[in-house]
Amino acid sequence: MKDAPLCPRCGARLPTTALGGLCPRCVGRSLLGAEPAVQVPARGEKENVEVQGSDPESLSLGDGTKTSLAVDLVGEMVGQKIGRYKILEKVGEGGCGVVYVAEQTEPVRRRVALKVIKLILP
Amino acid sequence: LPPQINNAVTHNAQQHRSEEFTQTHWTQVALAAMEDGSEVARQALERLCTRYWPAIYGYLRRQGRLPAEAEDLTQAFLAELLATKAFSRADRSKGRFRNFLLGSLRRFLADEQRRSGAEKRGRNKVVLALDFAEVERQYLEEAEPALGPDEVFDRRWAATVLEAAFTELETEFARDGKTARFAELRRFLSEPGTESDYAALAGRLGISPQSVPPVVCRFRERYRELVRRTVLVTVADVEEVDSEFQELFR
Repeated sequence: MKDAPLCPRCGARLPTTALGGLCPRCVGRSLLGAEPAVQVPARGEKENVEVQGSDPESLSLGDGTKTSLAVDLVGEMVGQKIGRYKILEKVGEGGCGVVYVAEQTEPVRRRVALKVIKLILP
Repeated sequence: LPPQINNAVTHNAQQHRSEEFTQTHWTQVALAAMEDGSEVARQALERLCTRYWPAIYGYLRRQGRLPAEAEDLTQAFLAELLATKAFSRADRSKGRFRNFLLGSLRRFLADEQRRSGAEKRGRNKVVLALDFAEVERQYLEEAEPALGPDEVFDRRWAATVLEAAFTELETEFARDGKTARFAELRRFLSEPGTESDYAALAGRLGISPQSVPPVVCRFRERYRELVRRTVLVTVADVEEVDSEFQELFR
């Protein structure tokens, strides 16, 4: 039996071609480590807004378009304001971010779903 | 139709068919194959067997059988299975395809021992075109000596799930003309990146460093979704996906 290269992290044998040569055990464990994705049903006036970039001024809510802005994810988000959105409650958490119900204050007052993208992987 | 519209239609149709299949649990497929003799259901079962048979082969090899005997038994087992005889014995209302297949294989092997030489002679049936040479190569490459037959079976099964979803993701990227991006991102399926990885990746992808984490995260999430769908077909209902996930990848 020829010697297959070993995974530097877990020591398992690495496939030569399958899975792009990635370690199946590490890929599997990485899947377990990730939290399940959350799906927020679109209903009523809620819209999905993604928050991730750097310029609050660029935050424009078109017709459900996704926009971005940077926030420091320090401590409790509920009660904080991000741009024109006031965060009311957390509704779910996925592998990529956290989803909140927020209140948009201008140009119209309405409730939106706000997705805050994590900048660092778990 | 203009080519791009035609492509879009084909693409949607394929996606629809694929989702239709993945939303069907194997137990329903087995029932349909048995009770109405549905050809579509039989084909679906055949696809499942065509995907997961390397686990069966690995089990037989790790029992100490030589490649030729393991090939012969794999084909004979699948012939019996696809003739749906085995489904009538199994409790199809619940359970996972993985457990069902291994249980059926054990019963088949026990019956096989009791069969006379004359009965065994009739078993050289080829029902599916299977690439035994490649799977033997893979078996020698990956089956660690310390593992027993059951563990070899489960490891190969888990790897098959991961590979199927990986290929699907690769195909999605290729369809969008993003083969190079897939090649850059795929390594993050096994390890979370560091800041310096992300900075380097941003340069290679021509995007800002800040937009790398969401890109990597969505990539991983999409893969996770495809793995879930792959697993979903093999369990009896959606509630079982998480526990099957745990068992396969722990």
